[in-house]
Amino acid sequence: MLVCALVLGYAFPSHPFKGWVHSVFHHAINIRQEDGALITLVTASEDDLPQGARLNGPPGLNFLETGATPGQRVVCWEWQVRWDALPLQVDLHTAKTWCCNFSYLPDTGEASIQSEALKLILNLLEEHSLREPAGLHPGMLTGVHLTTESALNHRAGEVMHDLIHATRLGRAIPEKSIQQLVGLGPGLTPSGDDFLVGFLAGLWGNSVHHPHRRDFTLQLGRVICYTAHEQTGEISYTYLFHAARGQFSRRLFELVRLLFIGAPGEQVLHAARAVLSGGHTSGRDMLIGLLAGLIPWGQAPIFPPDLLANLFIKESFHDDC
Amino acid sequence: MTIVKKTIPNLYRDSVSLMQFTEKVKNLPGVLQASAVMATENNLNLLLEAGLLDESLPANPNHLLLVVESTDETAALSALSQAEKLLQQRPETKAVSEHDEMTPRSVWMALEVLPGANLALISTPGEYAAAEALKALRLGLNVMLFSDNVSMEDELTLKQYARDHDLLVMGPDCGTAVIRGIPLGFANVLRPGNIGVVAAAGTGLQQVTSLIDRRGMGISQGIGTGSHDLNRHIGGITMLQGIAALAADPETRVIVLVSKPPEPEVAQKVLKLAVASGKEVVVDFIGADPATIQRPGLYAARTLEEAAFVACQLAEGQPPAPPQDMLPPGLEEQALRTASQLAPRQRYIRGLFSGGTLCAESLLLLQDLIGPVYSNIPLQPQYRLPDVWWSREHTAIDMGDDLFTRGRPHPMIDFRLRNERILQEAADPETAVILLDIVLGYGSHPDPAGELLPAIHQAGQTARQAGREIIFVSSVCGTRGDPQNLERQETLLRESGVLLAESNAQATRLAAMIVKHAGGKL
Repeated sequence: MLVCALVLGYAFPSHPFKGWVHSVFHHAINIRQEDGALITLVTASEDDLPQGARLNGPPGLNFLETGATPGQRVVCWEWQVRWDALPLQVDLHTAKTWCCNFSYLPDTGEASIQSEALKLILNLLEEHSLREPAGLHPGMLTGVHLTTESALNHRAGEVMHDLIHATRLGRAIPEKSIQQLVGLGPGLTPSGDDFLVGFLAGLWGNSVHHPHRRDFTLQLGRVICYTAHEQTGEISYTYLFHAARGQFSRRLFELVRLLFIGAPGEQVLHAARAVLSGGHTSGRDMLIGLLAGLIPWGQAPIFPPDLLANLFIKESFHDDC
Repeated sequence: MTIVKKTIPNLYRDSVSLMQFTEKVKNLPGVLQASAVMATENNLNLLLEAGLLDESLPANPNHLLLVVESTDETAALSALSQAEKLLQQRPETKAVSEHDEMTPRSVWMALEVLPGANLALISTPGEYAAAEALKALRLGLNVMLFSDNVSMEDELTLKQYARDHDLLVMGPDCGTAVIRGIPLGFANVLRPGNIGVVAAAGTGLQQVTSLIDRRGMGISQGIGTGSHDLNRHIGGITMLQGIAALAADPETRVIVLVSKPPEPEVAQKVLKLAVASGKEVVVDFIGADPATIQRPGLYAARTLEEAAFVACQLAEGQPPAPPQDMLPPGLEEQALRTASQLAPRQRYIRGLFSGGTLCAESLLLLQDLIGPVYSNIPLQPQYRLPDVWWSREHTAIDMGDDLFTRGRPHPMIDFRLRNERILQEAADPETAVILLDIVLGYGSHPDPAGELLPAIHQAGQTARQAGREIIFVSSVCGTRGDPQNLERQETLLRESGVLLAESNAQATRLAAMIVKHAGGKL
C-alpha cells in the first residue's frame, strides 16, 4: 500500500533516516529514529504536528490493521518510508512542509483578543468537563465549581498560580512547580504536560514582539524540557520539546492565531473545538493551559474581572516586560 | 480491601483507549477503583496520596501502571489478570461517543450530534431539496446543495436568504467543492495552498484543481456555485460571495473563476468584484472572448489547463505566461505513428465524456481545430444531434446529461452506458479516435481504468477484425492523493495502448492532430 504524505512538520527529517516503530495507534504511528528523536505519522483526519507527517488516505486507514508493531525496522530513503516485512510505504515527495510562525501575529498582540471569545472557550471547557470529569477542570482558572477533592486539580492549580506569577513578574523560573506538574495526571500524555504545552503556546503568542518575554519563554521552555526528559514518557516529552521551541500542532497554533488577530467568537470557538477533539482530555488540558498562558502578560485584563478575581492575583496588572 | 498493581513496560495506548480500558476494569466483579496511568513520579505520588498505592514504586514514565482496588484479594487478582488480558487486546478502533447509537434523521438532529458543524450537504430528490436547504440555513449552516431540479425561484430565495445571513449556498446542482481541504461530492484530494477557486462547473473545478495539485501547488478553497448561479435571474449571488470570501481569506493569494460565459450583466458584476478583490484573478469563462474579460489584475484563460498553469505562476509570484499548446514530444510521435495506421474512411473523433465542462471545453477546442462538432450540448443549435444515441461525423457527448442519467448513476460511477457506446463507436468504420475523460477522486468509481479497459480491448478487437485500428485518447483528471491511485490508473491505460495526455485540453488537441494527420475532415 503506497500512501502519500500531505504535510510534513518542521522536525520531520528531510534526509534519509533509519529507525524502528516505537508505538502504534489507530490514527498514528510513532517512529524512533536512530538519534532517539520520535517522529509521528498520522492519518489524514488528524492534526499536523511539528514532528509529524500527515498522510493522505486511503479513507479508513488504521495503522493497527497494517501489521506495524513496535520494534520493526523503518527506513527512509529517497523520500520513501518503508517498513521491514510490511507492504506499507509512504511517499514524502508530494508533501508540503509546515511550521508555526508566530512572527505573523499582529504587533497589537493580546490587545486584540476578544473577551467574548475567551468566554466562549471557557463555556466550552465547562461543558466538556461535565461530560468528562477526568483531566484538568476549567475551574482551575475561574475558581468556580472546582472539584476540591481532586488532588490532580488541586496540585495543578497551585502550580499554575506559581507559573502565572513568576511569568508576569519576570521572576526566576519556578523549577519546583514545574517538577510537580510534568508527568502528572491521566492519559498517554499526562494532563500536566498538556497544560504546559498550552501554557507555552499562550506565552509564545505574547512574546513575538517582545524580546524580554521571548527570552523568558525560551528559558521556561528549557526548564520544562530538561524536567520532562526525566519525568515523563517519550511521547509526551516530544510534544514539550517542540513546544519549548515555539512549535505546536496546527490546530493549537490556529487557535492562537485567531485569538491574536481578534477573530470573531464563532471562528475562535470553532478552532477551540478542533483542539478539544484531540485525545481524551489532552485537548481540554491544552486549552486550559493556553488560557492560563494568556494571563500573565495581559496589558489590560483580557479576562472578565470576575474570572481574574478568582485567580488569586493580588498585584495590579501592568506590563513590566 | 486489597490493592494490587502491575507495571507494564513500553506499552502505549492512546488516552481514549486507556479511558475505555479503565471503565471496563472498574466494572469487573469486586472492583472498587481502577487506574491506568503512565508511571511518572508525579502520578505515583498522586496515587499514594489518594490511597491507591500502599508503597512507593520506582518511577518509569514509559511504563504503564495498572492499579486495582478490590473488595478482597481473590477478586483483585482476578481483576488484574483480566485487566492484563484486556490491555493486550487490540484497542477498540472506534472512539466512544455518546452519540454513537443515534442516527440523525434530520439536519437538526445531525447538528445536535455535531454541534460544531457549519455546513450541510444536501442530496435529496429535487422537490424536497429546497425545503431541506432552507431548514439548514435557518439553523445557521452553510449549504452545499448537490440536488438538481430545484426551481429558479427556490434557488433565488435560498441564495438571497443565505446572503442576508452571511451564509453560502453552493448549488443547486453543485457536484464539487473543497472546503478547508475537505472534498465534498465529486472532488479530488488536494494539497493545501494559496489558490482559491470559485466555479460554476463541477468537472471544471476538478480539472483546474487537480492540475494545480500536479504542479505541486495547493488549494485554499474550492467553492462550487451550482450551474445556474450566473444566470441573469440568480445574478451570480454565490460566485460574488465566493469572490468576496476568497478576497478576505489571508491564505488565498490567487483566485480562479471558472464558468460557462455568464449573462453579460452578471459577467460585469463578477469581473468588477474580481478587480476590486485586490488579488490576482484568473478567469476562464469557457468559450468567452478573452478581450471581454481582460482588465487590470485579471487574466483571461482560454482553457482549464491554462487557468491552472497561470494560477500556479501567479501564486509563486511569477508573471503570467500562458503554456505552450505543444504536446509532449514522445506522445506526439506516438500519435502520428498510430494515425498512419488509420484506414481512409476513418475520419472522425467520437468524444464520450463523463464531465459536462470537459465536454464543453473539447467542443470549443475541436471547433477551432477541425470544425463543427455534433453534440447533445452543441455550440450552435444546428449541430445538436438529432438522436443522441447515434453519433454523426465529429461528435462529443456529455454522458452526464439528464438524458443518459435518468434512472441510472452518473457515468463517473457507472461505466456501463459509456462502455456500450465505446463498442458502438468502434463498430462504426468512420470512427478514427475515441476521446475519453477519466475523473478520479471521491465520489467517482474506485477503479475507472479497470471498468473501461475490457471495453477498450473489445473495441480494439472488433475494429481489427474489420481491418481497422481504433485510437483511444484520454486524460486522467486526478491527483496522487486520490483513492483510486493515479499512477496505477495511468499505467493500466497506457499499457492498453491509450494515448494519455496531461489535461483534457491536451487530449483534445492530440485527438484533433491525429484526425488532421490522417486526412480527416477539416
